[in-house]
Amino acid sequence: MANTPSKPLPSKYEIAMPESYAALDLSAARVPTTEVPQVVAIESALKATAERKLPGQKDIATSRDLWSRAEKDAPKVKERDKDKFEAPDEDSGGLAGPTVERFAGPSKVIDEAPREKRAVWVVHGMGQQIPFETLDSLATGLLDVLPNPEQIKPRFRTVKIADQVLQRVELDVDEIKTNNDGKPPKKYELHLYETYWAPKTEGVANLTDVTSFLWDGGLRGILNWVKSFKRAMFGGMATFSIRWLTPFWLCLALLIFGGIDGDQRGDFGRWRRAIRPCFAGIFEVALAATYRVGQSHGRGGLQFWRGVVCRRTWQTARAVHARKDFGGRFLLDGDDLYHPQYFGHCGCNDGHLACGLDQQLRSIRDTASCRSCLRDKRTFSGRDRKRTELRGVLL
Amino acid sequence: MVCFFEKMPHAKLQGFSTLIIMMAAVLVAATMMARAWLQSSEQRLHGHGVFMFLSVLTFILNVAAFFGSVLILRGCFHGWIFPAWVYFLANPAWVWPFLILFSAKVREILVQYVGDVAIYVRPNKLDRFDEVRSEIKEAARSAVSALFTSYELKAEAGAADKFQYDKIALVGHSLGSVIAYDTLNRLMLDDWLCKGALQVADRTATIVTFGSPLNKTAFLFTIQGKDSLRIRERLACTVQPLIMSYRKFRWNLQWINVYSRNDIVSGRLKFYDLPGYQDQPRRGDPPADPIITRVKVKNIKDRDAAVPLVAHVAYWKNKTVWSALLSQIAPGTVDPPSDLAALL
Repeated sequence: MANTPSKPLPSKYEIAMPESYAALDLSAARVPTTEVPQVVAIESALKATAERKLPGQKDIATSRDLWSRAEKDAPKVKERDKDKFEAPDEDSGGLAGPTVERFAGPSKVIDEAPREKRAVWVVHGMGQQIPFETLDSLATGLLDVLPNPEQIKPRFRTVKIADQVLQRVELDVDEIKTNNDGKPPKKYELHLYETYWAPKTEGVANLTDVTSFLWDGGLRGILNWVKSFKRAMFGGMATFSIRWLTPFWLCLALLIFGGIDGDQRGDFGRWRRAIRPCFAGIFEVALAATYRVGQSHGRGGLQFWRGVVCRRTWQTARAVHARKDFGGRFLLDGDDLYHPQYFGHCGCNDGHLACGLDQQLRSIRDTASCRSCLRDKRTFSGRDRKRTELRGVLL
Repeated sequence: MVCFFEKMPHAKLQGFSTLIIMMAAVLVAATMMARAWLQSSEQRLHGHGVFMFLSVLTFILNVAAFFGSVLILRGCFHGWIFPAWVYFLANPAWVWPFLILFSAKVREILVQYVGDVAIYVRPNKLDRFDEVRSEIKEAARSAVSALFTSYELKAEAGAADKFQYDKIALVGHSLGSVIAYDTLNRLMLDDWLCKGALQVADRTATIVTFGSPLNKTAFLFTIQGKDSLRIRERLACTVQPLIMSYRKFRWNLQWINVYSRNDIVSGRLKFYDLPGYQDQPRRGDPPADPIITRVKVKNIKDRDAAVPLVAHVAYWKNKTVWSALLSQIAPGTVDPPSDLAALL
């Protein structure tokens, strides 16, 4: 999500002094039973807020002033190390090197012209997020579209509004006059805030929750398409037409998801348990075909994948029979194993899986379990068939 | 089909595929290193010569991958065998570790990304995430509420107190757009209960959603069924002022939704306006309500989000979202995107 600006962004920035703001106490203004004029509601909220003020609240402003004055005696970087420190302000050089710990004051000190304050609040989406990454992307994105980003010096400030302590980025942006109407260009002070919630969901959901969620959504979507989709809004029920392609995409998504899910986990509800092999099988055979064409895995590729599908089925008589059938079919084509074209690309069936998965034929030949099998084609076929049948019965 | 597979020159295809994949991996690594190097030196990335060169190489590699496979399949390299020192390329041993890594990545994406959606979006059935969901909503509500409630004290005697912000913009990406939507609805309800003390509807200049699944969540997780459920639907509507009244809650709000056809998560928001207002007007249609036309969701396409799947996060790097946002929250500083200008 990190933003990559296409324009050179300002290299200078400022850390601004923290500020506190009063906030309306909404609980005092909630008088739902009687009609109260808005002015009265605000007045009551203001009054309630004023009553909640701490006795020493003005001291905060005093300490802020002290901090501001202390800036005059700010420490400086050693002369020999000045190249190792990028000063917060280009004007802050001195005899002993650049000044550190400079803090911007309230905005009116920086710019005497009145600026309209505007707030932008951003909230990030799903996935891995780190604190202030969203705010960084927002600020970078806004600077990137402004015509003169290098002239804007962002300020970073911690503010306290009622009980909330927030960090914000401040950008001063000016209107660009396109006509000459005599009015001065508007000046804005953008305050950028973010809400960071990613840690709240970390480690909470597991794969079962996700699959359940996606299955429910997909199937519900198909059902909503079958019936006309209605939604309560603006005092009535609105009926929306849904594109005919929607169920197609939903089915495709469920199909793919079913295949992936078949790979990922094994525990399903009973009804899903019944249809999972279908989805998993279709997806995996399709994947095998693609895989087969692209990766040149030999005919064994398809048969191997079929083996995967068979392994995914359950202990029903049909599944056991499928395993036997699979093993038998492979052995009928077993001569291919000795064809030079397939040498080194041995396909696998369940019997081979027992021997050593998808190893090359040379490797299999070297393994103790298969050495005798491969010595004689007939022996190999017979043993492998027997092993396959055994696995079919036992698994 | 089986005959076709049998006749394929497997070893050559395997070797060629491995070679192409290795070269692609080298290109990706080179791109990431170049990106890191340019970023650390604060050079401009967009249109940099290094990336242009890498793009050309990538294109050549794609062409080679396609035509090379075709030529091998047509038997153009019949009789040619891999030299012994590169025979390892024809070895498919890497396939399984690759599939294992791929499987692990799919699992990570499902749990880390879709898991967040599964936690936040209420799927119309009982789950164990209600507490987390409430925490997220409360975190968002308290932060935005602070912005709406903060006011500046009287500068001088007789002067009126005033809110710190006359205009506030809410921005949400992906699942964040759902959170922003819920937060704004909640604040509007709070404000309604407070007799409009906060003037939320007046002071919310815009809500900008991008990569938003709002349409999909509305469609996929709505239970359509018996008529009695309409009561439930109507009750659900009462906690969503944004779809309750145009004139009371949306008359001053510009809702801008940026989407891309290459982003499977996002889409045009059609279910947040009356039916027909998001469709192209047809000849002979009755005149549309001017208020709804003015405040309906402005769906605009991010034309720079062109890479499938990656488009979901490409909005952050493109300009459409930010110029749309700035044009609303600080008018006159930038021109709105052309698609948005046509709708305003």
